[in-house]
Order: sequence, then C-alpha cells, then structure tokens
Amino acid sequence: MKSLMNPTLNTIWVFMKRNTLDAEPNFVAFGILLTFGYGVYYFAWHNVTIQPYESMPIRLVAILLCFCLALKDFWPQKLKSILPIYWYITLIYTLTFFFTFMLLKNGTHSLWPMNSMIALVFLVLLTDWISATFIISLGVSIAWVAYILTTPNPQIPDNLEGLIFTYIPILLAGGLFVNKKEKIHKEKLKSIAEVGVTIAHELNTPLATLTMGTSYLKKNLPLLLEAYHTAQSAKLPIPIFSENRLLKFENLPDAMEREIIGISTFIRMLLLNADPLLAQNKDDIFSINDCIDEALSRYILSDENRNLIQWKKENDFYVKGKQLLVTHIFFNLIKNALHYISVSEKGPDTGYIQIWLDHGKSHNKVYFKDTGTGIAKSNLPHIFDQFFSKTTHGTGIGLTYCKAVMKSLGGDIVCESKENVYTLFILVFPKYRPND
Amino acid sequence: MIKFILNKIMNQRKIVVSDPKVNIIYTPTTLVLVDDHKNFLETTRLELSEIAPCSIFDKPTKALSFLKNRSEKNNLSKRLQQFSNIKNINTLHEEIYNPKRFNVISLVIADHAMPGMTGLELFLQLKNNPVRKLLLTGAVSYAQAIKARQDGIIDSFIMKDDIKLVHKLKLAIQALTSQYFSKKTEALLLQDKNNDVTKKLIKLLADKKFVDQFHQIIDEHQIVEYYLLDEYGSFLFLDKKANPFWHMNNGRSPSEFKLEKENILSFEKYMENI
Repeated sequence: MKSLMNPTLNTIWVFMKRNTLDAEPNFVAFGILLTFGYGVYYFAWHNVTIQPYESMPIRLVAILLCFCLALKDFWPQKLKSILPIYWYITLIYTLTFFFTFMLLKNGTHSLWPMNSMIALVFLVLLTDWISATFIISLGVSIAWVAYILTTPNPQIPDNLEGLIFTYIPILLAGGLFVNKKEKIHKEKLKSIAEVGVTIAHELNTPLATLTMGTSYLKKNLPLLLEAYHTAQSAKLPIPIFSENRLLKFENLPDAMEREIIGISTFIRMLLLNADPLLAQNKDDIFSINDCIDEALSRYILSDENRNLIQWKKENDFYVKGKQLLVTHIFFNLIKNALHYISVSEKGPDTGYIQIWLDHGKSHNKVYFKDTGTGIAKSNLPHIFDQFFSKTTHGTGIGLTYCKAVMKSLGGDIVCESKENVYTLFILVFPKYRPND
Repeated sequence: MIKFILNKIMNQRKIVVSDPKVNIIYTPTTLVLVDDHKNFLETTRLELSEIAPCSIFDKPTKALSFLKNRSEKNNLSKRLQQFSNIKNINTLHEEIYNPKRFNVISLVIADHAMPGMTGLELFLQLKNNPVRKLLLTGAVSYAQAIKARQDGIIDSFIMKDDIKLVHKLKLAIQALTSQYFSKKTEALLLQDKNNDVTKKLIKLLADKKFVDQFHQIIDEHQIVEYYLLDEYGSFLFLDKKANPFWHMNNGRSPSEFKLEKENILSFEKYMENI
C-alpha cells in the first residue's frame, strides 16, 4: 500500500506515524479515562446538572472509539498498521467534533464552553501543534455541518468570538510549552545519533583493517606456533614461552575478533537508535532457531562461556521481520548476561544462561534467562529507557534498541527479575502465519 | 541520511555467486585494490595473499594510470583474439609458458569514500574496461551503491562494516574473477557460434554432469589454473606447484602433449617473488 502513495502523502503518513508513536504510551489511559468519562457524564448532564441537549448515540460512538483504543495491545497485527489513522480519527471525533457539536447545540451559556476548554487542553497535551491545528479545523467543520443539518433553526451562539479568544492562548501555550522537555530530550538523542553516525563512518575502515588483520592472524598463528614447537624440540636457541603463555597467544585472535564484533554491533545499534521507525523496509521470514544459532556462533564465545549456555532448541517458529535486527537483540542479551554472570557475587562458576521457546495462542515467545546479579526492583521499570544504565560497562543503548526492534516487529520485550537471583527477558513475537 | 543507513542495515546483503561454470581458460589474476587508508591496503593484501596477488593504490588517480598502462601492455582479450577460430584453440594452453599470465587484471576493488575521487567516480572512468568492479562502501553511500549496481557501473558491493567482511570479500573475489573469464569465454565462443563444433562445445561446457565432474577435479587437486586443449572439451589443469592434471575427451591422450615442466612458472613461485 505504502509504495503506491506519492511522496507528499508518504511524508504525511510518516509524520502521522511518528506522532502516533510518540503518543502511544498514553493510549490505554486515554482510552479507559474517556470510555468512562463519556458514560458517566451522560448521566451527569442528563440527570443531575441537566443540560439542554444530550445524545446517547453520539456518546456511544465516542465510547466505542475509546474502548477499542484502550485495547490496542490486543489488536490483530494487520489492524495495527492503521493505528495512526485510527488515532487521528479518535482525536477528531472525541475531542473536537463531539465538544464543538455539544457546544453549538447547548449554546455558550451552558457548561459546554468549559467542557470544550478541557477537551482543548487534552488535545494540546496529546499532539503536536500541526496535528492539533489540523484536528481542530476538521473536527470543528464537521461539527458545524452536523449542527446545521440536524437543527431546524441553526444559530451562531452568543459571544462565540469571546470563546475563541479564550481558547487561542491554550493553543499557543500548547505549541510553545507542552512536550518541550521531551522535545529537548529528543533533539539531544538526535544529535547524539548524528555524532554516532559520523563516528561510525570514521571507524569503518580502521575496523575493517582490524577485521582483515585478525582473520589473517587467526589463520596463520597456529602455523607459526607449530614452527615454534618444532624449533623448540630441535633445541634451537629461541626465546622461551611457557605453555600457558603460548595458549593465551593462540587464543588472542579469537578475543580480538570478539571485541571487533562487539564494537561493530554497538555501532550498528547506535545507528538503529537514531530512528525507531524500523518497520518501513521489506521483511525476511526466518526461523528463530536459525537466528539464535547465528547469534551464538557469530558471538564466538569462548568454550568456557559456551558451556554456560543451555539452549533448548525446540518449538521453532517463524518470524517476519529483519533477521539482522533480531540477531543483534540476542548479541545484546548475551553480552549483558555474560557480564552480569561474571560480576555476580555468586561467582561465575555457578551462573548459566537458559534459552527456550514457547508457542502461544497469538504470540510466540523466546525466554532468555540468566543467573547473574539480577535487577533491583527500583530499576526494573527503567531498564528499557534510553541512556539508562546502572553499570559502568553499559551505555543504556542496548535494551532500548531491543525494545525498539521488538515493537517494530509488532511484538515486545519484557523483563522479570529478582535481585541476586535471576533476570528473565521474554521476547514476544506476533505469530507469523504464511498467508498473512 | 538516516534513512540510507537504515536501508543499509536492513537490507540483507547477499553476494550473488554465479553458478559454477566452465570457462575455456582460468588462471589466478591480479587484483587492484584502491583505498586511501594505507593500513587497510597492506592488511587486506596480506589476508588475500593466498588467493591472488594484489596491486595496491592509496590514490585513485594512481590506480587509473596504472590500469591504463596495463591494459595496453597486458591484455588477455588481445591474446585471446588469435583463437578466433575454434580449430586453433589447441595452442591456447601454451599460455602456461607465459610467466606474465598472472599479471592480468581481472578485478578492481575500491573504497567509496576517498578524498579527490570517490570509488564510484573511479569506476565511471573504467566503464569501458573489461575488469570487474567491486565497491567497498560505508553506511552513507548504500543507496548510491545500489543504484550504481543497477546502472552497471559496478558489478557488486560489500559494506565495510559487515561482520562477515572477510568471508564475503573472498566469495565476491571468487565470483567476480570467474565472471571475468566467463565473459571472455562467451565472447570467444560467440564469434564462431554457427559452427557445429562450437555448438557442441558450448553444449558440453554447460552440461551439468560435465560441470560437476570438472569442479570435482578442481577441488580434489586444488587446481589454480586450467586450459581448454581442444574443441572436444579436453582440459589441462595445473595446481599451484604447476603439477599437471588432465581431463581428456574424444579418445585423446595426455602423452600427445609434451609439457616442458621446467619452463612453467608456477603460481606458488610467482607469489614468492612478489
């Protein structure tokens, strides 16, 4: 569908998606609050502080819109792609059309000027000023048309211009002050991302050089060591290395390779964090088992670390999305888990990582558990926040990345933990059905 | 810019490895490597030293003038022209006595972001040169690389930050050098395609059973070069020490060919001297 759109429409669509994404954390609260609000106030205005005009059908539509919004986490995957449109329609209907229509029907001497003001405040809190302007113009126009069509003797309410003058400062204040903090935070993240892009670019060739060199070392070091042993048994006058040192020597290229992969992975995540709208590209369909296999083998664990991992390779399922992105999630989880196991007071010998899969009704899950230090209860709600890191080793990029990718797949990642006992990450993937 | 990067990350990049084919001639060739980062050049040459000799350039302009000189002096196309008639193909294998046969340049690998001249600008200047072209790129130029490949300015590209960089580079080198020879093979066979003998040969070279058998010989004996001996599809193979192996068709026998082994410069010897 997207490919058919022309560039202007596409820009608008991306803009809507971005704003919807920003507002999404509020959807459930918004939906629940307004579902009740529209119901309760019907009785309030109809039975208690009686207002001239009330209409249950008009309220029912609003209730239905808000109720469905509150349930957005349970929407089928296919519907989720229209969430931005749904969100804008909901705002237009519930916050502007409804209140304007009621104001026109009841006149300015009712409670409705006050009610409309509250709706306006809601709107500026929930959207940016461009969207707010659009939503208000559309909602108000529809309300006028509806008012004229349904009223035998339509009239312009008294003192309407006074009301409009009262409302303008709210709009202005909304545009100027609301979300300012968030916007500054976002700008900050954006500039960090841009610096990240520059750094990534500068590091490209040096990293590639290291990759090449390490690959060559890895291949040829064993030959040199063999030559060393031959020279040693021939009692040639060569410097003496202990067996232990020779062994470390031999493992050096592996360690270097691991570090290089770590750096490139980190850079990639930095770039991906630059923009959470990941879902715009063509997807792969891949087996989660293959993906985990690849992550484990590419992370080139030392034998010691490899033994820590207990992977129950069963219940394979398919995922629709970018395999590379998901592989990076596992890199990230492995890296974190290994770190926390190694610093755990229980000692690294007792630690382990368990990975297993599970099929659910609408979702498939990957469980990733480690017995490292666990996460303190007070930190648990923040671990997916950007630049939140309680360790000296972390940057607060990794888990944010994981969350962004899982969300872009229409899934999620959640964490359960008990301090000093375990940490469990649950990766929730929407069920992939081939005929989707 | 960010969009390009995302595209880059999200498109799984796969090198297209063409089906194993049989060419009428294949030898190790020289690669030209262009990057402004000297350390990268040296290290990559070292890493590739078992596959192919590399001429390295830290300035695109130097690479261009080198390629211009080279193509006049040492052009495989020119040498292959004398075999325009399939009947005289039986002298093709005498190429093994040419100590400069590994000097042929089959592939140019260039970084994109270089001061003065970008990799793509360099390749644009080589548009009419039969060498294969491989671009190494960073994140920012991904979209450009895709377009350049569509436009035929480059044959393939690899992202420099790819975790499997070494592996992918080697695969690409293998595929593209082989492509260099298959283009030559095609050109030569098409010159004379209405001839029954040529038709038969074309059919044989594409025959799956023959191709499999052929590649089995290559793998088993670690062959680095091979030459078509006659119009019936007999081949001479050499490993890196220039030990000969034969695949004879139409009842011919290796003894018909008297190899002067002492006059062949093996690939191993060649690599030791550079």
